[in-house]
Amino acid sequence: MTNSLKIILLFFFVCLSGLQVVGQEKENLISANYSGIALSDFISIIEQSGIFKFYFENKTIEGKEVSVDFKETPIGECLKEISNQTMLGFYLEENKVYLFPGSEIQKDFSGSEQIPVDSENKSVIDKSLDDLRKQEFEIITIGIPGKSGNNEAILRGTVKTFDYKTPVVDGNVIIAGTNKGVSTNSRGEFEIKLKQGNHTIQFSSIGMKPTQRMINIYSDGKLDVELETQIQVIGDVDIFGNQQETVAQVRSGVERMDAQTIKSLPALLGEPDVMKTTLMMPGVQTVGEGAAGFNVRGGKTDQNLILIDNAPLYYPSHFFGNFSAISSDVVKEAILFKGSIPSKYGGRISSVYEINTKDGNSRKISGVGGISPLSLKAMLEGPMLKNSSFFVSARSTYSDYILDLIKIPDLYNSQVSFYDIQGKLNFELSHKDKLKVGFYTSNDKYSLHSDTLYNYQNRVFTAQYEHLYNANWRTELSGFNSFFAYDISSEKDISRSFNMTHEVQNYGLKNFNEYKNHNGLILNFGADVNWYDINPGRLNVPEESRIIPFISDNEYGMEYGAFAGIEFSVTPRVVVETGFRLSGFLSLGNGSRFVYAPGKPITEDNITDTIVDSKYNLKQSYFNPEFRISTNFLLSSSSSLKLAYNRTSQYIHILTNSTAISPTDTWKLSDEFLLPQLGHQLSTGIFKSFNNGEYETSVEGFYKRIDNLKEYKPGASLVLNDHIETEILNGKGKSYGVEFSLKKNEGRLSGWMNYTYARTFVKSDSPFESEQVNGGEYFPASYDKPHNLNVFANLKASRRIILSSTLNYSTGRPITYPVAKYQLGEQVILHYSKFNQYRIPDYFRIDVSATIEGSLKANRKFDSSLTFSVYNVTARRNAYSVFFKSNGNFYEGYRLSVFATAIPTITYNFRF
Amino acid sequence: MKNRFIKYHLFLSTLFMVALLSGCIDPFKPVLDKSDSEKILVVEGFITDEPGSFEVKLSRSVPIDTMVNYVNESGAYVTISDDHNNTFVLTEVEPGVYKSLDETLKAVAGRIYQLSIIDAFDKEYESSPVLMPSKPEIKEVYWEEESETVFVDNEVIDEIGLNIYVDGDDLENNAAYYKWDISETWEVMMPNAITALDGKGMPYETFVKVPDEKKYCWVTQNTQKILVKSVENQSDSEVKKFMLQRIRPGEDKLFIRYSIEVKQYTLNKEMYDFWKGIREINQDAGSLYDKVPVSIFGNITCCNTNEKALGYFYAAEVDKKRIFIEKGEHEIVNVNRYESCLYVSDETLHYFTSGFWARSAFCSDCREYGTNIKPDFW
Repeated sequence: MTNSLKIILLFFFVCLSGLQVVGQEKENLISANYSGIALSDFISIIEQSGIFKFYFENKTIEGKEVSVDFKETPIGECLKEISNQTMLGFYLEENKVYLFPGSEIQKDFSGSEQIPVDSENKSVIDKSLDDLRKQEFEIITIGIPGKSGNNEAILRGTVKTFDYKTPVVDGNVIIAGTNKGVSTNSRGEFEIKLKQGNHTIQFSSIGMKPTQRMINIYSDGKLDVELETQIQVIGDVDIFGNQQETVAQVRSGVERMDAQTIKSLPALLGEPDVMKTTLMMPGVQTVGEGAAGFNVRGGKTDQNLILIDNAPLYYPSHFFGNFSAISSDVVKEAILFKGSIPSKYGGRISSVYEINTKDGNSRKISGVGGISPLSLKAMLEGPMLKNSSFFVSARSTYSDYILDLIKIPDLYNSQVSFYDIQGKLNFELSHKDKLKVGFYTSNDKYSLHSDTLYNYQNRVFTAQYEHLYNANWRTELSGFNSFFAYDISSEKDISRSFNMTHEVQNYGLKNFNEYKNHNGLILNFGADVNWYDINPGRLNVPEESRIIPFISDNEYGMEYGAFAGIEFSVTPRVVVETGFRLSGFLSLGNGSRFVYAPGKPITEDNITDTIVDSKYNLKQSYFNPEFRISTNFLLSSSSSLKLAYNRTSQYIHILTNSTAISPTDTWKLSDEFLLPQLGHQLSTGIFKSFNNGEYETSVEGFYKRIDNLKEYKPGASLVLNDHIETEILNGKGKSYGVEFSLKKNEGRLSGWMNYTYARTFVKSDSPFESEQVNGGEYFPASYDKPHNLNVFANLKASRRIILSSTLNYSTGRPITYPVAKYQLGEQVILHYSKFNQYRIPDYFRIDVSATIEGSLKANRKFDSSLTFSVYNVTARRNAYSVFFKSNGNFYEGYRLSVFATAIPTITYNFRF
Repeated sequence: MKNRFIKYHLFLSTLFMVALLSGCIDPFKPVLDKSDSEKILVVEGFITDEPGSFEVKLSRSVPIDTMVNYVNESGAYVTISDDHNNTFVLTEVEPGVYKSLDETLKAVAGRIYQLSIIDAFDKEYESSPVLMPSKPEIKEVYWEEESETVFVDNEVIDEIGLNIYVDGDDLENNAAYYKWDISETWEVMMPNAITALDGKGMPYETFVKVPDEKKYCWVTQNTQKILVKSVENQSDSEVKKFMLQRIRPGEDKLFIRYSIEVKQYTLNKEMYDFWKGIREINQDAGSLYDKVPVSIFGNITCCNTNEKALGYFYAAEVDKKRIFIEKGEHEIVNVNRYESCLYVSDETLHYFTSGFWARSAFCSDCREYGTNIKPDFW
């Protein structure tokens, strides 16, 4: 990573001896005679003449000496001579001299070469990487002197990637030395207002090498910039491209992960995983290994809106939650909003996890692939039609083959397989219109030591259309269909055979409009609507079966939202982003439902009547205004204080009474009994970066309250139940915590260290004693793990070898232990403690990996790498659960570990 | 509640991942707060239409790491009342066992029974009223030789064992929940003669004849598993081929003669949920997606404090059936329990009246396993 150049003007007053700079009319001829003079002194001497100014980085000229003997020599030749002696590169523009390390661009040296001067219609085009890099040191003149009436000018331009010429979306454009900046739009375009004169503009984006341009702006003009990709070799790591961004960004509680970060973490069974990366972020926890989903700041797993290209994904994992359902090869970036959630998002109360897939390489066909012990994967991307591009990715496991090889009793009659296919077409309809069409499907099948086959699938279609009215205004129209279903079937014995299904259909439409101006004002507004069609569960049986089929009526519901937001600077140091979302839900009837006696617990015994609704008849309507605000007080150029309040509501819930989320949990819409879950979060944070963004630190605190959290009566029966409301309680939750984070973004060693202290409590909120868990008192939630430490370190040991390691520590999760025993007949039975009174042992795990690049040749067509990784290198038997089982008349405690040993893996990856 | 019968062993038996990645289950002893190991009253009362069934056992729970499983509750005042204004007082006949002194007393189907207890600390407990259901008749108890896939030394083999089933018929009762209690009895036999040592002077080995009173015994084993079933969501309330027990090859039950007595009765929903809960918390532990464990309280509540009692009180008419399985009727290879004993060099010597010492009582005295009194039904 290139450090930002510090351009320093020297104002040394060194006695002039033997130097003559002949007047301008004589073409700046220099006469000088020195032997073994320090270059810095020589420069000072020349600058004293008042004609030339030198620009360089101090360390470039450190310790360099020159011996010169010039007699009315033109400046160009003088510099050539000095260049030969010092191996430095030079560039001369008018009377300005730029010095660079290395002499590689000397060949371009020419005193007469014209720097492209930009006016309205011309733009700088990068010819080669050298040219591109050279631009960092050029002063670019923009506009025409005297054209602008006032002393301000607007700079417009486009930021693209150097490699593929694709627009850099959400890139940062910052005026160096200030915190003023804008971000690029979805076409990579930006617009920023500047005072006339000299500026250094910094450009950065995730996964890209930051760069800068020195400009001298006279009037409105254009500057196009290309960024080099950091992804030079597979596994090469650059964790955070956007220095200073965290400090300057108005929102707090936002975690960004790019594809490189995801790939650089040591992976279980060699499968880089976007979900597992999330778990390394402060404030994000999981119940345990083998548990799908994650808990954000004390929220439940169903309170995270996981979006792929704007469409919700209902079950985000393969293989019992051990692998993310999304292949990391297609991920451009993933952003987790855990604190301030933009008002354009709604529907889940704890977080929004936005996963954006890449647009596809618009220059040439390229691809990546890999083989790990578990899976095979491949991704192909390339240009298509005119200005359009595509990608397609597929992944599949061959674990069935491995299962056959393993001869252990628990695995007999087992099968496990999954695949996912994802693709996207990216049409550039015109300069101002873009259309993206995406498709995703995943399928998991398993049967564990039994004749019962489990099968679940996700299917997502997305379409996004974007139109730019002008550089300020854009509008986006997107639609999706997301489908999730599972079925469980058994066919061995015809009289006992069955097939049980659950289906979720979700259609959504969203309009989003955004206005950005060059003063950093951002305005947005829009509306969205979601249509839900859920089949709670069906039990289909063949005619010969003695099982009674269970047919349930589909549930229908419509969620709608209208939102508006504004981001503006109150003073140059205070930025406010505020938004408002009006969300509502219509619970629509279909078929029969029960009426319960008022003022009594909702139980089967209290059913007083059955009502039959006509289809789509409005049963219940909910409306929730949601107010959100974030403020950022810049304390200095590298530190800020942020405050945020967020209110969110949720109308669709997972029903589960097991500890971990499983693919056979069912989704349920809010209705007259299941009230919408409401979240309130107050958060604050201090952010500081050091050493020009090399280190970033932050401390964030939050307090969150959740109303109508879904809790269950003891032993609730949640499947195939036509009066599910008798099993569910509307509870309350509260959580609070502090998150500390330290990141090192640059250098051979990079990484982060996150520590979180957080507590989460829930209670069942019922006036009836029979419905209360723990007597209606608050008790620790199953995912309440107060101490949590995550460390990630990445070391570029050599040009070909990258080492990385992660460390995870957390307090054990709460558990209910048996505290007493008694006997009934011949059975010894356990009596349990208060709910979640105890904790399982603490969790600790270290993973390591080493990646070896196959080739370092430039411009290679085919590139490969080998990654060796060891998961759980200390082989610690981390408890997933502690349980008690009787062995005859004795009860013994057991600890169940999911990955109880070190798991070494070799993965082969390639790209072309 | 409907459709409870499909038992979603979400991720069956122990874990898949455990097995795959040599994950494991180790013994683990958590530190427990002793103040929670409350001594809770445990009630076990089941009255039937059989004479002498008016019996209630009272005990208290004990901390999980104690050697005993319970302590008897003495000094309580126990009564059972019915809806015909009868009150039956139960007398403590041995510690923790309260019984009606009228041995002919039996419960009657259709009546409502309720249990009341005043414990030694003057706390009053009461059961919920129980309507006694009439008996669901057992159609047949039968057995079949069936193969099951098992693992022996990491090899998959099809093992043929003997499965015992029950068929029930309950068309009039329209019962929804069944429970079975089984009692197995089988004959065991010692070898005719064993190697023994002479204890006087220099020991020397000799063959000794095992006397008849140590040779022939009967072992009885009562229900180990909780056998309950819901037929609520079945089109008929008939029980068909419900497996009560499986006898595997290599056991000793079928070596000579085997008998099983099956008691069948119906449960109300409260009791079905109770037994199912007990079964779940005690037998289905250990999978990744376990239900969160909860304490299972039955139908006994305390009426003047907040304290709840464990256990249950229930009344039901019971249908019984006994079958015998003779040695020649099947092809399951069972062994003489003491076969391996002949070769064991156990230092525990056992005295014979003849003055010899056997290597082990388990090899020479069947009373170590059962009784030498032939049961009436044999």
